Amino acid sequence: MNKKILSLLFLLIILVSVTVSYAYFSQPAMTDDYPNNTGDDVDEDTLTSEIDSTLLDEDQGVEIGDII
Amino acid sequence: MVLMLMTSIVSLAFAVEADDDNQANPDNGNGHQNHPFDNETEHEVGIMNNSLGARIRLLQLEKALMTNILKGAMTVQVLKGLNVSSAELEAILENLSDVLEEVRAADPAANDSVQIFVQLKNESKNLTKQFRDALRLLLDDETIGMIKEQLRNITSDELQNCSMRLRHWIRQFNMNQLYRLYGIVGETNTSALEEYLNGNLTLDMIKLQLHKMVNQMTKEKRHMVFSEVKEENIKRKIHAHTAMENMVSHGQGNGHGIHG
Repeated sequence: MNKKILSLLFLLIILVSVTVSYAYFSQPAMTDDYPNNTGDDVDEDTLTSEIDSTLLDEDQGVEIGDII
Repeated sequence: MVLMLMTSIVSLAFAVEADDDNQANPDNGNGHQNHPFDNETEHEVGIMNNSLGARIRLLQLEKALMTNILKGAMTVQVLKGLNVSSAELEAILENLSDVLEEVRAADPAANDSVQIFVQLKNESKNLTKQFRDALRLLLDDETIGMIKEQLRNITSDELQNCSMRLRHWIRQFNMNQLYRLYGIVGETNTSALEEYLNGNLTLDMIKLQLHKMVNQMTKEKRHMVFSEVKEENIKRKIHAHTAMENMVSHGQGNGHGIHG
C-alpha cells in the first residue's frame, strides 16, 4: 500500500513538474522589437542598423515571383 | 491523492490547449495578427505614407511586372517554335499587361494608393503563379530550366528606363531621409549628399560616413538620435499596420488573378 502511495506521489511530482515546465516554456516570448534603452547606453550597432532601416536599397524591388 | 492527480492532468490539458491557441492565433503575444497580407507587403507599405514613397513602390511593382511580361512573351515565342499551344499563356500575359497599365495609371498622391498597390501586387502575384503553373503542364522541368537560364538577364530599353527612373526616386527618397538624419545629428554634409544624388557616391559609402559619425558620438547624443530615428520607424510601422488592418476589415486588397 505504501509503495502504491509513494509511486502515486512520485508520479504526481513528475506530472506537476512537467506541467509547470511546459507552461513556462510554451509562454509566448515577451520580447519586443525595441532594445531596452531607457536610460541605458545605446549600442552603436543598434543605432546604425536603425539608421540603415530608414534608407532604401536601390537594388531592392517588389517581389511578385518568377514567371518561369 | 487521486484528486490531486486529476488536477495535474487537467492543468496539463489546459497548458496544451493554451499552446495550441497560441499556434493557431499568432497575434497572441507578438502583436502580429493573422491576416491574408504577408509581412513583406506590410513592410513595403511602410514608406507609402507620402507620395514619393508610394511612387517608388508603384514603380517597383511596374518594374517587376515588366520583367515578368518580357520573360513571359519570350517563353511564348519558344513554345510557338516548338509547336506547343500557348493560347492560355498569352491570355494570362494579356491580363498581366492590363495590371501593368493600371499600375502606371495609379496616382501615388491618392488617398487609396496603398490599397491600390496591395490589390495590384496581389493580382500580379496570382497571375504570375497562373502562368508558371500553366507552363509546367506544357513543358518538362528540364526545358523550363533551359528557358529560365536563357532569360535570366534579359532586359529591354523600356525596362532599363524604368530602372533608371526608380533609381532616381530612391535616391531622392534617401536624400530626404539623410537630410532629416543629419538634422537630428546636427551635422550636414551637403556635398556628400549631392554626390550621392548625382550617382558619384554609393549608398554604402554614405552609410559608412554615418557609421563613423555614430562612432564619434557621446552616449547622450547616441541615445537622443536613437530615440528620434526609432520614433520615426515606429510611426512608419504603425502606418503600415493600420493601412493593412483597414484593408482586412473592409475586405479589400485581395487580387483575384482573373482580370476582366
